[in-house]
Amino acid sequence: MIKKALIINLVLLICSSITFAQLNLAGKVVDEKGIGLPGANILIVNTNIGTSTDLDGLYSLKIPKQDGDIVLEARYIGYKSSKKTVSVQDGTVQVNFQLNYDILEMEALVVTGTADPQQKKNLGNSIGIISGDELQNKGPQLDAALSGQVAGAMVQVNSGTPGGGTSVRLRGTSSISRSAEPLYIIDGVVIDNSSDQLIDLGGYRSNRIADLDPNDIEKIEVIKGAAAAALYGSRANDGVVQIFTKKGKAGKLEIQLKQSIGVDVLNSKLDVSDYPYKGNTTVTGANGWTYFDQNSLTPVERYDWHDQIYRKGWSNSTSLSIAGGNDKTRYYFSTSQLTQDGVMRGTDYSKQSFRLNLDQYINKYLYLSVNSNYIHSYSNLVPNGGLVGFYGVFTNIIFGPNTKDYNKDSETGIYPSNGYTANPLDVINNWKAPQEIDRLISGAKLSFTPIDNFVMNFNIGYDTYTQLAKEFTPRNSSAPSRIDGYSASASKTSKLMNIDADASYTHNFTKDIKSVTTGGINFQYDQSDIVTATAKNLTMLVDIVQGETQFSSEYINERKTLGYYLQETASYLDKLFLTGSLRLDGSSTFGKDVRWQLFPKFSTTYHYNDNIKLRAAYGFSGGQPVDSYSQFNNYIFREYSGGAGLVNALRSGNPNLKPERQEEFEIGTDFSVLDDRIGIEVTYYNSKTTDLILPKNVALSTGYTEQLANVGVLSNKGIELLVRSLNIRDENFSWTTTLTFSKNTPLIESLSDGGEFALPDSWGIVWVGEGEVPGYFYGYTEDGINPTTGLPIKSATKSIIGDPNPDFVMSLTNDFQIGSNLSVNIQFDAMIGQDVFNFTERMLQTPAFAIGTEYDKEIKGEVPVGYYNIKRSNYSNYIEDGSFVKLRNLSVNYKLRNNFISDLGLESVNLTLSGRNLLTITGYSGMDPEINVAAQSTLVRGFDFATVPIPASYNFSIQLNF
Amino acid sequence: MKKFNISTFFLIVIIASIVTSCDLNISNPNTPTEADVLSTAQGLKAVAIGMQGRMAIGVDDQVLIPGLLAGEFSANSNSMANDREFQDQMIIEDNASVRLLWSHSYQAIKSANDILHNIDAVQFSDGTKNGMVALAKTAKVIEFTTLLQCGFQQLPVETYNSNTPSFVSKTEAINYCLTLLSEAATPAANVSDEFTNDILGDGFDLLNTIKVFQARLSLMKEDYSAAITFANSVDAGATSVFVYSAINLNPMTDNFHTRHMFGATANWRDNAESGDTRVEALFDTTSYNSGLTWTNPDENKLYDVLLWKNQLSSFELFRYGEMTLIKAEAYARTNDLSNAATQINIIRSAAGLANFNSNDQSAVLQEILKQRQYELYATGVSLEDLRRFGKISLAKVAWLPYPQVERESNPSTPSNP
Repeated sequence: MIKKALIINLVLLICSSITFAQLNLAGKVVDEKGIGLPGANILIVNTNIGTSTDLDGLYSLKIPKQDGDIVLEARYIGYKSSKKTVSVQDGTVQVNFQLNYDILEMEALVVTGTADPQQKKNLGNSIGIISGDELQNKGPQLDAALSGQVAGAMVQVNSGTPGGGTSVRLRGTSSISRSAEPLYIIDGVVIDNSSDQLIDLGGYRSNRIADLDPNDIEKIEVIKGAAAAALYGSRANDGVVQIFTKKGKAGKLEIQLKQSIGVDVLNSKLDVSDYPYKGNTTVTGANGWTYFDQNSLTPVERYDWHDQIYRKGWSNSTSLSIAGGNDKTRYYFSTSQLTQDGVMRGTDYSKQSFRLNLDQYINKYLYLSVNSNYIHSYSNLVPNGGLVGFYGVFTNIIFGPNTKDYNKDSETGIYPSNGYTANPLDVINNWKAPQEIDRLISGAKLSFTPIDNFVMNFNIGYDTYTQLAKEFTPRNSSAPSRIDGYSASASKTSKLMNIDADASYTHNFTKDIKSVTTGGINFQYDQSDIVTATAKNLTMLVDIVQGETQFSSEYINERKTLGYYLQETASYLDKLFLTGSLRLDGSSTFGKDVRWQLFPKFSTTYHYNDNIKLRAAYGFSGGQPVDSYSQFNNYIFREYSGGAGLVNALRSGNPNLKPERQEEFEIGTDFSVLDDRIGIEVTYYNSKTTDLILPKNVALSTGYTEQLANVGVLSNKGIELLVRSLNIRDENFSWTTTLTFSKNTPLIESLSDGGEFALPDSWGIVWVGEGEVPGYFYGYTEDGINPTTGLPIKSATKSIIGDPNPDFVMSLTNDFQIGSNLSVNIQFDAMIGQDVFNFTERMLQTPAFAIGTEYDKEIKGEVPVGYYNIKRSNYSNYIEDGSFVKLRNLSVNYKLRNNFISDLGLESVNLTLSGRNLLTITGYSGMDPEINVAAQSTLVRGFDFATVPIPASYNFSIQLNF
Repeated sequence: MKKFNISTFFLIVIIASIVTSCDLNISNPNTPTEADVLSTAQGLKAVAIGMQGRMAIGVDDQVLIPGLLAGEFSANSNSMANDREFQDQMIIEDNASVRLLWSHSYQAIKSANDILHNIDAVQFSDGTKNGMVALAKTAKVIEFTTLLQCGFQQLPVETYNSNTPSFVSKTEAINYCLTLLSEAATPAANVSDEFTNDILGDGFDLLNTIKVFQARLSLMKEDYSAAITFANSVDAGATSVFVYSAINLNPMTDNFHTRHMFGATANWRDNAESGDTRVEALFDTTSYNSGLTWTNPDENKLYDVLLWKNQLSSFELFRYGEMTLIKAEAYARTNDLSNAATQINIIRSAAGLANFNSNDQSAVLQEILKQRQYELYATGVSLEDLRRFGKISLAKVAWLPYPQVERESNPSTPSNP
């Protein structure tokens, strides 16, 4: 074949030089309204011969006289390409093209989940694509980029703290014990997205994808499950998000300087009592609890601490990017600086980022692409309690009666203690909890194309960071158990390296049957090392980990994953595409007998016509446990009588532990109607993850108590829908609407020993059980009111009281382009049907604290004494419907282009005013139905307990484009 | 085609280099590997030390469970529900204390088996090897005996490398233990300084411990002449203890003092003969009240136990008086009542009590039981004593259920008594 192609080219060249007979092709390429498209590409199919259109959309192309028919193709970015057969061999011929808007981005080249780049329209699985344009004018974090753009993706910010984490779930949660966050790849570098909270300060768990600067993003591709992601083998159960950063373009120097300023404003408050009386004396009830006596009230001053713990959080950011290059060398450099004050006093976040992307065409055969990104971030946090610790600002507001004056004693300078928790103002002003990240992500890719239909790629990626966290409580603190001070310091160093090599060979069996064969190998190495040290009874006058009681520990986690894959794609008449692939994966996490796992995939697409495509995909993928050493029997230190001893760990090794295995089938269609004005993508998927990795009890007589084993099955079924409509498209006004909708039904089909258990770090409230939805709320319900006492009745037994999984998630985005300079984006997000446990409200109704307005009823005598003490133990009273609709984004962008600007050497100036989370429509009574104190936790969701609500953010930016 | 060949060559080189650089066999850098622990002298010595540490911090349930069942102690409302189940006679199958008792004992037994099954392949001096073998066998006996004393009717004894070991009867378990002890006796008499100084815990008298358990188990087996012989062979006044440190605190202190979860049952103290000097040493003379109001009126009648007041105080594996009382019981059961009385009176006079004499075998046995209840208070033998003296009906529960976790994973687990 290779020889044949060369000969044909040679013959064409010879022919053209000998005979002067020519075919003159000319014509115009226009859009659906008949307006000329400048810069459209005209190509003769299966050759390198082509040209592009001028400003009016006109082209002309002279080629040698032809022996037979040729096929001419017109392409323009954002439009569907069009082909026409020319049967004239000689002379001049007029060939015009009218291109339709590619509303579903069907022509976009996709690389995620396919071994070789393919057009989206030829894929058998659904894929989410977010291009750089859609990322413009959104917030400074990646969640803003992802939310609402991809059907089947549920993107949640877990708290209002700057730099906080985002959880992304693609087609539901596919595990119980592992992180369910997708695999992230940036420019071919597999990156670490762990969310280690080295010191648990309560609800601050952040994941490391937050380090990326969204300004650098050119495009994001999202694949959602095993059917699409089988090629990623044992890392792909939660889907894959691949991010491509910007590159320089030949011949054009582009400089962008952007300055923005923003403010975060809290738009919800706790409902705090201001009733000026409290119960004077206490009475003791039958079960030993003490209550306020309704008959003996005394005046009391009530405090509202909101203003002393919250503020407006100002932020500003500056970013600069320089991009350019020539035919051979292209570069993109960017740097940015962000500082952001949190709405909670004492919290802030700053980040600096540098990026350099270089592309070099070394010669005809070799292409090298190198990228590197350095990130530094520093944040000050204040301890916030959460599910583990009790010493936090917000926690203590909720846990302390609001009749106590927390202000510092003017004489001694000491913040008064309430006797059991810390003084929130003391925590804000005297305690310290800084966190710091230093990170370098770099990668290089070398492509070798010795001949047209054969390409080889060699890719190496390296992601390394150091994360430091500290917590310091000074001596004489207001926290009773930390009176002598407490200090903790933890560091994590993480390395993640991936090396990939692949080769791809394209071959046409006949004119109609094409084949692409790809094979490759991946190697991934991860290592992390966490060192923790704490001290109590601190040394005077220093704020390091030094004191009487010191404790330290270190843990190293290491993992190697090796994978081989082979994929064959065959197409018939560019209408029917069949893809089959096999991946063989081995991981050091598993014992040698079960280490190698095979993940096959099969997918197909059929183009019924240019506007209707049918697709189906079926595949397998895997998931690895968090800990790398579950296969081993481990021994742990035990001192005795001054000697250093060892005993076996109670969890025994399981050399037969396998990856969690997902099997997924999806079927769908992509079609456009009304002359490509409305595009629709619909997908049904059914995935089942078997071999869930969970601890399983073993016979105690073995000397062990448990073992990690493959013991559960979890399924997710659902429908995804994306509708994009070009409502109006005029020269001076266009209006596009995008709707994404996804409905997922999760179910735990089976579990270890058919049982049920409470998830760790959920206070025994969040459970998983066979035959139930994952992560349900479990507790007592209220069995009416006792007619004699007027007190609520607690149910005899606990039952399932809520489901934190939404019925469906929906986003509606409207983009307006008014004139050529003004654009407006409005995005609404809705999540419907999920339950939220309003634990915060439960605490407000607790008699010992009694700061909520609801509890006033008991003091006022509207309900009998002891009413709330019983009510609060009936957890079902605090399960609320957390359904909401949020105005997620509203932005207005104006592009300034005039003579004055050009005289300054500027191409244009962009002015953007944007707001996020401006409006929430919800029946939820708490501050924010979206927050979760368990943050990125896999299945502890919808747990509202003393977490900073997500503020409304306003941002103004000026971008100078040189 | 040449370029194609070159590229193929490069591809092969790259793939080969990745594959060869990638050994998927890793080890856990955080802990020593099982192979290293079990195949080196350093590792096995550490297992022997860790085994004693495991035994030392697991003594609480071994004393509490029989004590709660026999009525030595009571749990108050500071205690966990799973401990109150013993005195409330409502022991659920997955009682956490029963589970922990098994887990702690069998973890120590696993350590002992690790030593016994691997020591031949490791280079030790004869004296050190003797010591470790004797210690491992003795440790197994201590744990099995403890489990029997807690009220299990059957036990798995051959547990090494088995996920589903079979259960043997109490009699078989006693015989198994006696065999282990006789195997341990000879090497225990010939140990190296290395073993005594570096491996054996302070205060642990290996030789005498072996003899004490031989005497105790012979008595349980009703082999009275052997019981007397073994009891006589124990050095007068011998002690053997587990010791504690700032890292490993005596768990009894937490249970009885720091958290005040248990106290001596009033009847137990009040039934003592007047003038018994042991009472003052064992029990606080006034009922304690740490400022909490109990809903259960009986809780006001608990007495503080004066043992283990310090978290560093050691735990006695046995009291020497047990040997005297074993002899007394062996004589009494063979109807040699005068010799029995001689032994009883050694104990009584030490406790400041007048001599006892009786020609009625059952009265003598009754007196022996009574002396055991004070002489051996809180050493874990009380439930077994009630059983041996035919008074098991006085116990809250005669036999304990097997842990549910064992049953779920080990089909050999017998049905609950």
